[in-house]
Amino acid sequence: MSYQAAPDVNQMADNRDLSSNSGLASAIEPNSASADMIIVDIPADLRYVNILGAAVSAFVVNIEGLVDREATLYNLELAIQEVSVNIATHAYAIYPGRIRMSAALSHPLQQLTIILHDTGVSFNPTEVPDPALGELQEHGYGLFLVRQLIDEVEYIPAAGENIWKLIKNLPISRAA
Amino acid sequence: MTTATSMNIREDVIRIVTIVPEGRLDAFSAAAFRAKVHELMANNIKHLVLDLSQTPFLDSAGMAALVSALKQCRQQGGDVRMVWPQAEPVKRILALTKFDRVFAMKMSVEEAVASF
Repeated sequence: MSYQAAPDVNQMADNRDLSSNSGLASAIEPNSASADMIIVDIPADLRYVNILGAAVSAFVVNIEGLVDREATLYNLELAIQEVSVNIATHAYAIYPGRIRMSAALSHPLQQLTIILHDTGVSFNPTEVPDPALGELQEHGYGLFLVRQLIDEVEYIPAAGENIWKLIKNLPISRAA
Repeated sequence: MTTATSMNIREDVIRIVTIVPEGRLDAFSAAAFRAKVHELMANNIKHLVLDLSQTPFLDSAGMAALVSALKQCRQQGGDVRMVWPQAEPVKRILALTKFDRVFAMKMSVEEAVASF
């Protein structure tokens, strides 16, 4: 899992249009012209965070040849749930806000890129230790699960907004 | 002629309550689960069976609620048995986080109750 210091948004954006949405999110989100992309925007409220994982699960459920479909979908949903709950309870602990998520498929690798954007308080996830597995430990499993279930996890804080970038290489059977 | 053997007979009855979360046990529903466990503890229940057979989704907030229940029971001198979920992905997460070592896992409620 990587952690970046606040990036130069203008440099990252290059020629992309930043006028319609927040700068950092627009700079990192995949090209919206892609056909295989969804965007979901929800209030950062525990009543609604399950929507995000369910949306991504539905987004990839019909991919041909997806190996171990049930577990793959579950793991994606769980990882997104953990990040979303983290945003709702920590980033927006003091004031309310929204979570904007995009999910995009790249071809032919069937790599799934998920971006979760918030405008809450930043934190440093690398300072969160893994739980002591097998011990009677109550908290600390959320980020551990994200790190275990997702191939690449990146957290990018910036002034007034934060990005979680999750990349999952979907297991695809070549026989499909 | 023999005389009756003197004996004391005592019967111990252990109160065991089974909780069956039906549906997701997650950051939203964990609060209700914790409230129920708290209510049971207040009523001097200290042995619980946590039956996850009907739980299709479990996140870290739900897991925290399960550990909290175990801690509370043990603090009261009781204990917890957990019944395996039916959902394979949930089983895998319990194994990944080694919850299957923290909790005494059972295949059924009957087996769990009999193990106290």
